[in-house]
Amino acid sequence: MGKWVHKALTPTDTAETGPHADMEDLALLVEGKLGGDERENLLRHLNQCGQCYEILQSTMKDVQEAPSAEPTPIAWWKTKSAYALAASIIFLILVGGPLVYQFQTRQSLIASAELIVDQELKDILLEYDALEWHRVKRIKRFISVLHKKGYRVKSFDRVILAKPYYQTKSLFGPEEVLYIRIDDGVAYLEVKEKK
Amino acid sequence: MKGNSIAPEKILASSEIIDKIEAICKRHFADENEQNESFIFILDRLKADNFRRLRAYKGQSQLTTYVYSLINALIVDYRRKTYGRRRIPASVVKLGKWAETAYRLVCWQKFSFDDAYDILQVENLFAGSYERYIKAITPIREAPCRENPAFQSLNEEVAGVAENPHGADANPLEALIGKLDRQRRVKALKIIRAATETLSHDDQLLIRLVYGADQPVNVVARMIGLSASSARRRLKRLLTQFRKQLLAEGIREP
Repeated sequence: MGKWVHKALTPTDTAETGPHADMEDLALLVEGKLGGDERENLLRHLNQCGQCYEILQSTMKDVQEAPSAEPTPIAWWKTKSAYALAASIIFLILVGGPLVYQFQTRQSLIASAELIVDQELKDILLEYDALEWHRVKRIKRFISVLHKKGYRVKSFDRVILAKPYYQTKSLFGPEEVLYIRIDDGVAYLEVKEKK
Repeated sequence: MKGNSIAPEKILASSEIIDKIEAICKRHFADENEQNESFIFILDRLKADNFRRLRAYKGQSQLTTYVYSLINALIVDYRRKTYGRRRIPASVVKLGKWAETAYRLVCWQKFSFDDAYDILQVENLFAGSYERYIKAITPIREAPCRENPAFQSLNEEVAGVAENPHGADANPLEALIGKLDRQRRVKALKIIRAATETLSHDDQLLIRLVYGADQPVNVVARMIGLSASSARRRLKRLLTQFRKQLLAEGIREP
């Protein structure tokens, strides 16, 4: 901010002897909810007391920076997101339409898939270190995660890992891909680093 | 966060609030030790007397707004507690109030000596010429100042005074002030300050916060019960009044 006008317009009285603003009234003022005599009295005080004025300014800044701060109302059709939404819908109709048609007419189950290993998959992979999974619950949870990610896989009741899976230590480690192949009721899994 | 039924301990356990306290401390203090000390001070004060300050919340405003105002009030308390211990050197005190103000401006608030001269003029604390001022500040420049290593410099570019690089563009008052020479600048600032003080409380706060603190018009408008467009119209009218008064005193844009 400009130092000159800032200095000239900042109230200088520290109101050492008088009572300072009530913090809840100050909060209500910042929210635009203080009215009547209470607002009039508080404004009079703020125009004189440098200390309360400073608290007001800082609080206003904090409220504006808060993630829940209400955005400035803008007509919805003027927002970039409205244009983006419209463009996305057109794009989806053009590109997704034929795919949906194809999906509806020939919905086949996937026999193999590759997907990025996220935390949810890691948790399942790290649950036990045995290469062959026997626990029904674990297998069911794995299938439900695949469903959640949009993979309608062929049914299987056994899972075999190609090699033991260990968590990568680095926070910025390479992405990993899980390769799945389902054959005769058995899911064969292999985790490889993404190239 | 809303409602007054939340236990104070839970408020302080919220990572959102703790992060906010940390952010506010960082905003106010550049020094890491001071950031940490003020952070601890605020936490202690919020916990003091069985969370008295947090318990005073009546639930009329948003809890977060209330807590933000509390934290900012505690920052002021912390600064007073810490800086209140600082003493203006006796060699400065004996020169009078103008010297104390100059010392406070340059050493504590990190204004340059040149800027301090202008502010002293606006505050009617030093009536003499600039040449006289330069001679008079010699004992102040020799006084110790731990807080501002650039203290003894007369250079205008003293670091630390927050300035918004866009301020002058967006702020017509600052833009005008920036173009004036020292004498006119001091005069113009006096006029602007005096004119502001004659306005209604609503208008005063509108001018102070929009042009003195760079707060958005719509935010200030909501506080004083106006729509953003009404507030803009009012600001325009107030600026026209200021302009007339400046012109009447012979101040115009060079």
